[in-house]
Amino acid sequence: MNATRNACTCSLKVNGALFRKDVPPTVILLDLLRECLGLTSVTQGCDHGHCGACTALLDGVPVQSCLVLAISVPDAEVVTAEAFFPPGSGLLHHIRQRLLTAAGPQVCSACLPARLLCLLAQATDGQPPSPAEIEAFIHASPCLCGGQAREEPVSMSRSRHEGVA
Amino acid sequence: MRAFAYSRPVTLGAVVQAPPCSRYLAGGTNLIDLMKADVEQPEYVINIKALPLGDIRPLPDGGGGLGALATNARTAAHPLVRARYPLLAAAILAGGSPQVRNMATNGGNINQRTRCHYFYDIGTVCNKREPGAGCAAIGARNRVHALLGTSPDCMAAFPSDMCVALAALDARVNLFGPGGARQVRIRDYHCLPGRTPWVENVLRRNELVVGIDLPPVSFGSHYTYLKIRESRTCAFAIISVAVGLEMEGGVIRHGRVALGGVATRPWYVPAVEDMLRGRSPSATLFHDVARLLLHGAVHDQGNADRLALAPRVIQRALWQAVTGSPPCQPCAGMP
Repeated sequence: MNATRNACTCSLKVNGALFRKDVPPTVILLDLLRECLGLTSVTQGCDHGHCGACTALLDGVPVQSCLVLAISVPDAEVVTAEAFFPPGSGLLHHIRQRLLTAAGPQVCSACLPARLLCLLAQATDGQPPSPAEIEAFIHASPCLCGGQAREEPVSMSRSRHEGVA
Repeated sequence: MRAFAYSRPVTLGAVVQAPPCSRYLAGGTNLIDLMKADVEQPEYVINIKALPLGDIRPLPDGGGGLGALATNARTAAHPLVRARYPLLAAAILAGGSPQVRNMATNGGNINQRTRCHYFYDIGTVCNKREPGAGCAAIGARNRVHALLGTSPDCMAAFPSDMCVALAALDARVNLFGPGGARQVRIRDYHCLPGRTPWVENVLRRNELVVGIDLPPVSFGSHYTYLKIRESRTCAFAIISVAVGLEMEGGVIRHGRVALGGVATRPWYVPAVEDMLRGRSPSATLFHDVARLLLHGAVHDQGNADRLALAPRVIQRALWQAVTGSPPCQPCAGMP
């Protein structure tokens, strides 16, 4: 069996862009996304696969990136919240402010991008989720890395229509 | 995480030639976590995700076949499982979080290791990590530890939800190794800790799980998977109960019950089948079933409350299954 301790080629498509780099087998996808690519919407929470703050879409499905070896998913397509809320666009900030206004300081900002990413992953028909869908999702997916918020439905249509997806 | 050598073979023949101190990597939800905690220190990590073991299909005998590399999420959502094995789907969906279920595989679920705090904490002694070192859980904070199947050397609970349903369904585990293929009943797959807590299952060196065979009996109408836990998601069971009944004219023609969260392996007592057969549901019967299931249970100072809770949860689950009510719903027919 050919096994190697040396750096292996990590080949991914991240938010639509090809990424290729030699990394040691021990590198975790979460660290690669944050430290090599600067995608800080993917957050280190518990680092043990419980809290969900590190969620990314791997070939279209939400996974805990803190439990994925970067080299173990060759040629996978990785999507982070930055694909929907580009840095500098203010879209994520807008949603966060609305949630904070509605629910106060109980809203957990650390895992909000991950939770929105899970919601967007369900929108397979390309249509923005309705307020009812958002409400149902928020109720069904409590924040595990901070205080559970009683969040008001927020229309995603603005973020979708204003040019990110 | 310690350095390791990595490979990604594409054939079963290559996989089972793995060198000593190897670990098979599939979903990674348990192995990577344990490697981060320094509990697992493999010299070699063999990524088996390229193997063609992800299928879910009907079997010629009327049962169902689950590939070892099919994810838990895909298994629970598969039409075959949803239509014919709703008990299994309910148990899978009670475990982990959606993200974890998207990663975790059926083979990995069977082989997952205990979530005992002391097993994870390398600053304490643990017979699973270091044979003969001792058990830090006994006499300490141990509310989530096992009541059944324990030994003076280990009281770590087995954490899987899926395996509890598989035990109630009497599933078979298909194995493949250097010596060829073989099949083991899920009830015989996991070992009691005894004096060797580090031996957790019957896997031989370099063997791996390649699939799970579900029998034709599916308990499609009268079933429940009732899981009591401290959080709605991503929490392990305080106690879980899988019940499958075949009812005919208000009488139990055939029934099986398995427990999770309270034992060192998925807990199944064959005599319960005889006790249920041909009987009408009653509080007395279900009280006796709970007593039989919990026979031999031993509590420590930290988990005595769960021994009081367990019979009530078992009886509630049985009533839910009798009425065919959805899992985790209060039972209208319960006295």
